[in-house]
Amino acid sequence: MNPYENLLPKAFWKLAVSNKSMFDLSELWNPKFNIKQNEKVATFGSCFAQHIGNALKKRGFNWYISEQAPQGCNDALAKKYNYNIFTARTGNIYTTSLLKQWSEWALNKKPIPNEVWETNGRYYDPFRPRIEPNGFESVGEIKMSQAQTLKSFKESIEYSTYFVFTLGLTESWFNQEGGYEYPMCPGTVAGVFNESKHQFVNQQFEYIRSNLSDAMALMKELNPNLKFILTVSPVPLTATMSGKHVALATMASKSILRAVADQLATDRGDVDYFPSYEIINSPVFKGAFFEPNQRSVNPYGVNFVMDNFFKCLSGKFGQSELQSQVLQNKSLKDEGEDTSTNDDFIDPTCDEELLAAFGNRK
Amino acid sequence: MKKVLIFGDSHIGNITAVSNEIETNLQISFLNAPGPICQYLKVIDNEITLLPAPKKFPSNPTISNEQFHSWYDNTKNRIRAISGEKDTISLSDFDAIVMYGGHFFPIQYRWWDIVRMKAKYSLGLLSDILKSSLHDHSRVGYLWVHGLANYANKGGNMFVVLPPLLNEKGLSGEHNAAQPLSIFQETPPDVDFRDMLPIYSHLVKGMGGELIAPPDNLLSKDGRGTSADFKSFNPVDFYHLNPDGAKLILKKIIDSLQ
Repeated sequence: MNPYENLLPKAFWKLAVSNKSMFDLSELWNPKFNIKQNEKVATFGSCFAQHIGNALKKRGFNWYISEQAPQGCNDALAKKYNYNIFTARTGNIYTTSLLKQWSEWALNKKPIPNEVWETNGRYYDPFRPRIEPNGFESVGEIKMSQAQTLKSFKESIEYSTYFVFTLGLTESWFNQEGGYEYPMCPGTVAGVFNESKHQFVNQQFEYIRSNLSDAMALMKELNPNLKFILTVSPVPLTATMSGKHVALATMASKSILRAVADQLATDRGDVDYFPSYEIINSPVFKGAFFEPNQRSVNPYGVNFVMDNFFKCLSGKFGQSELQSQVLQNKSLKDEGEDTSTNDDFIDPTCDEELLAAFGNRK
Repeated sequence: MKKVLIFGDSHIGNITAVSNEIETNLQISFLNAPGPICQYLKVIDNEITLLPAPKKFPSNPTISNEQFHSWYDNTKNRIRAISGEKDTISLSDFDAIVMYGGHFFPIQYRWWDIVRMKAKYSLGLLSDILKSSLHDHSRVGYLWVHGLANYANKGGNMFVVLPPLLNEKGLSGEHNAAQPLSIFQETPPDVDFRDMLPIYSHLVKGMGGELIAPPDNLLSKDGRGTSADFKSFNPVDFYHLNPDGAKLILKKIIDSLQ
């Protein structure tokens, strides 16, 4: 008798993987929390985080939007102005240090820096450079918008039961003098790059872990009951400043982010990890969920990831009446169709993808 | 001498009537498509054209079939007079085109709903909301400006003048009125149309034109309507301007173009 003899089939590669179609793989996630449909779920992070909010909404969960588009504003216009992408209008939060930064600003631990970028008479928020499609009219308008977003970000912490954060990047850009971080390198989306002022930092494990822990601690000051669900974006880097090949840089970044998420989820009862990264990137899935550019996740992949999220939840905790209804409606809709249709696919808003344009100039 | 075309709905009649009283070195042509005729006036492919009239105008409580056809023929004749006996007016024959009126107000939002969003939302978004509201309800003025955008984007000079607000004398109480007052009578006491002007200006600029804002004293002091000083002499008309108001508007247009 040895400990392996009592393990469940999912613990064995042959039983759990080799003997199955990749689409029949199950039990990929053992959720810690029973997310109820009336409990607010906030979603933030890198581009991939956008899919989580929309999937929650479609399945009858309470995706919390604390920064609402104006009443009556149609979906296309709301998207153009980056409403209903994340819970508040923060834009992409790629790193854990950016998450900590937003938390510090929202909880009045630090003031948001006064830096503003101006190009051709339009003004850009360095912390959300693409939040307005054509920039802001004035510096005052940026300040008004930042205040609104910080208030909404604070509300998303205060009133949510779950905070879902998608870790995206280790590579980051800082203002050396001010000690603050930008989501995008100045001079790419907007602003002007200044070599003596703007510093590249490829964040390492402990820095990422401590920033995420600090951000969580700040949030729990405001909402002690808040629980966290972490996931790692499966989307490879668009470009790397690390000096390495972009494929290696991607593996290094994702591995470090994955390790941070694992440590926190292992150590803390209030943190769970959902394996978006593995579901898309594991060799088990043979790269089937990527578009031909081998970077963008295709609609099948997104649906597969999110279906797993909800299957694992209902597998462990059972389905609520509303969720059953939503799933039933979905299966009726899918009857006679390929179940992996991309009708509801959300084309994600992703600032980082703009970096690809600089490669095209070569 | 600069050639200018000022066209629009019935408000054009007011400024045409006072045009001899204002000195200008502009050569101005006025084209008026009053009441339901404005629905038939279109800007297509850099031309202003009048769609064929229905044989019988649908019954309308205030406008008879005869009245409709009389107005229609007047507009048609003006087009022929302006264009040199053609059926369409070519925009390229003018140095500037001015659109005035055309119910250029949002429907699903009242203008004050948009003004009230200013504390939370950017000018770009508010202007897009205004545009979407005008577009979704195919407001005549929006269709005209949309048609003119092509001309403006090819270097033409497009100007937009908003229709007058409801006269402040009609803002409250019951009146024997030729037009519906109820929508504008809902104007709350704490809003000022002056706050709406940057949003209109942003919208028109985005479509390649320039907004000619109403002269400040045309508005009532509180900015909820047109000043009582410029109420039409017609007792049942609460929208059109009297000659003083019309002169004020025309002067502003001319000053903006010179």
